[in-house]
Amino acid sequence: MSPLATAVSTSTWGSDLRSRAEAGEEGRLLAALAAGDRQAAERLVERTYRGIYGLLRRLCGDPDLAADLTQDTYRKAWDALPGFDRRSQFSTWLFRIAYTTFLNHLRRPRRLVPLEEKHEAAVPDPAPAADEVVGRDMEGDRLRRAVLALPDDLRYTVTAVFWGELPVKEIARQEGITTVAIRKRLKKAFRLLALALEEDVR
Amino acid sequence: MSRLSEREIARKLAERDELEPPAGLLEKIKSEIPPMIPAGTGVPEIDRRPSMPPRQRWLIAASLAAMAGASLFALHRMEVPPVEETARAAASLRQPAPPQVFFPPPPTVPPQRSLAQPHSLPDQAPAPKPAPPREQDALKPLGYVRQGEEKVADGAPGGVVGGLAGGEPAAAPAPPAALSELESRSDKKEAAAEAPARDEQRRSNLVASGNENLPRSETPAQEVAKPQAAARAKAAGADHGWKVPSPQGITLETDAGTASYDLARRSIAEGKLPDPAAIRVGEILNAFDTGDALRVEGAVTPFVQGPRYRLLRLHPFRGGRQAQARLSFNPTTVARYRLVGTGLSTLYEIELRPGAPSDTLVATLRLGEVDRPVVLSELVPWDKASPGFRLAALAAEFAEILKGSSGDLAEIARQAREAGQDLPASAKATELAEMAEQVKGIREK
Repeated sequence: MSPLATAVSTSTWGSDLRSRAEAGEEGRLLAALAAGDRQAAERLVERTYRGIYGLLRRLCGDPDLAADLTQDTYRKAWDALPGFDRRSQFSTWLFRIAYTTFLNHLRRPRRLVPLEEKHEAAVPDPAPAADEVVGRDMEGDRLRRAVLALPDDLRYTVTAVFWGELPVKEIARQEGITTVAIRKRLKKAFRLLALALEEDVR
Repeated sequence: MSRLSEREIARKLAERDELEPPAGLLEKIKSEIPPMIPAGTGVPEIDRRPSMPPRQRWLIAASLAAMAGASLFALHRMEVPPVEETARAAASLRQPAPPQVFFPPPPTVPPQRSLAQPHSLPDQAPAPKPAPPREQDALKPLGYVRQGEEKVADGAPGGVVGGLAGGEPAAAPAPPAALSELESRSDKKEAAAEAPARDEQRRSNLVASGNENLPRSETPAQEVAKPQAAARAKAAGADHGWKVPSPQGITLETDAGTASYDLARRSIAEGKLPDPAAIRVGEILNAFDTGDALRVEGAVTPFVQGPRYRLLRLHPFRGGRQAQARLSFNPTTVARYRLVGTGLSTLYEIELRPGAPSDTLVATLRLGEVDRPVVLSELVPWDKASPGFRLAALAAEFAEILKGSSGDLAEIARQAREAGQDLPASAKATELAEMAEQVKGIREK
């Protein structure tokens, strides 16, 4: 098995299995929500908000901004719920909303925060070992910038698989392509990321 | 810094830091849940049936359309008389060629032969036209030799195996060169009138090829039936891999691998037949390559489909020399051709047009700036072919059988041993013979 296949299967195999069980639970909650059960909406939030926050935190690199965008995501989700056709899982659908919310945020110039400055600000002061933390953070930031610089389709695929932890099948279904195509996208993205990170170091 | 591997990138992406949401976020989100969410009645039941992605649907539709188009095109091609096809190719051939490329001038009309006139035997055949002195000089360092300069073991002129016998297109009157014949046909109706007869001949070659097999060395004038050839033609489909010559030519490539052979040898040694899908004819050819440098030769073989079929072997590369080699078939002589395999040498099976005179150009091999014409009289009978050629043809036949064709393995073994007697490196021939016998044994179990 190729490293890519191993990496993807390692990261998504568990979520693939989990997603089947979760799909059933989500279905029940959505049905309850449709019947007017507000608690079902709360349960859906409880199940998903950590993942959405984590994704946005990785995308934007700023905890406060990530929290704001998470709230935005759910607001949009409640508004858009009548249009949810349930062909994908609720979490997958929500992931897409979060991702779009982040992109919209980036496209608003007044709120665009230069990544370099944020990197400076993101270094914690009283860290246990400051140099290590800075090094790790710098590396994470380089990776984040490299991911954000990817072409649209590759960026979405990488973030969905690794940061959104969505099953490959779900992403393929949502994108209307095959799982093989998803893996090809990942492979291409890895090549570009390797190049970008290499250039960054130089 | 060395480039990060896929695994390292994946690991970095999958790293999980502490990304705990800030306290109170959950409550904030919950507080914003509207009292009435209009998801209610509008939400349909979850449809988890695997739906086909739209792009996949589109691809399937495109494939179906392409298949339908190809079928229509094939049907159309089957209805087009070959004469028209030839005329088109000939017309493009008549266009001024680059100065270095030359075909023997078609206007030199050979003497007409009658039906009763016997075919010329190898040593009686007209010699290939000698290249101009400058080109001969250019060919010489490339390993080509002029006729008479060197004799090979079988007595054929060196470098290029010369002469055409037994397999010469059956007793059809030798017309003028097909090109000039076509030039004389200004009236298309006349060409169309002959088309059905040619079609019929072509069909009979394809379908009833089992009834018109190649001459054996003992009976060079006689075309004897070979059931496996017919079966192969049937199994492979009439036009499988066959192409019509075009003036553009073909760039020859080499493949030095022998992986298929190693696989086949291991499997056979274990008493199993190798996976047919893993067999590449070129790689089997390489295993039995006799190292002939810069050689172009052709012959009838016991394994081709009919009397007008020949095997052409090109061994244009020598010891790491990789000058570009391009091959052009003469469409007025060659009705169609099929690549049998590419290894260090390349084998083509060709079907000749009926009644081509013996001094007609069959193909031109261009090595760099040097052209090497191959005329029909150079395509010799099987027993006059060089041992290297025979071994290559046998190896290709063996590979075809491993790929699933029917064939006479005992005959391959016998012929390989015969070829081995004329080869300095007879161990290769013996090895091929033994492998053929082993495969025969495995198949009979």
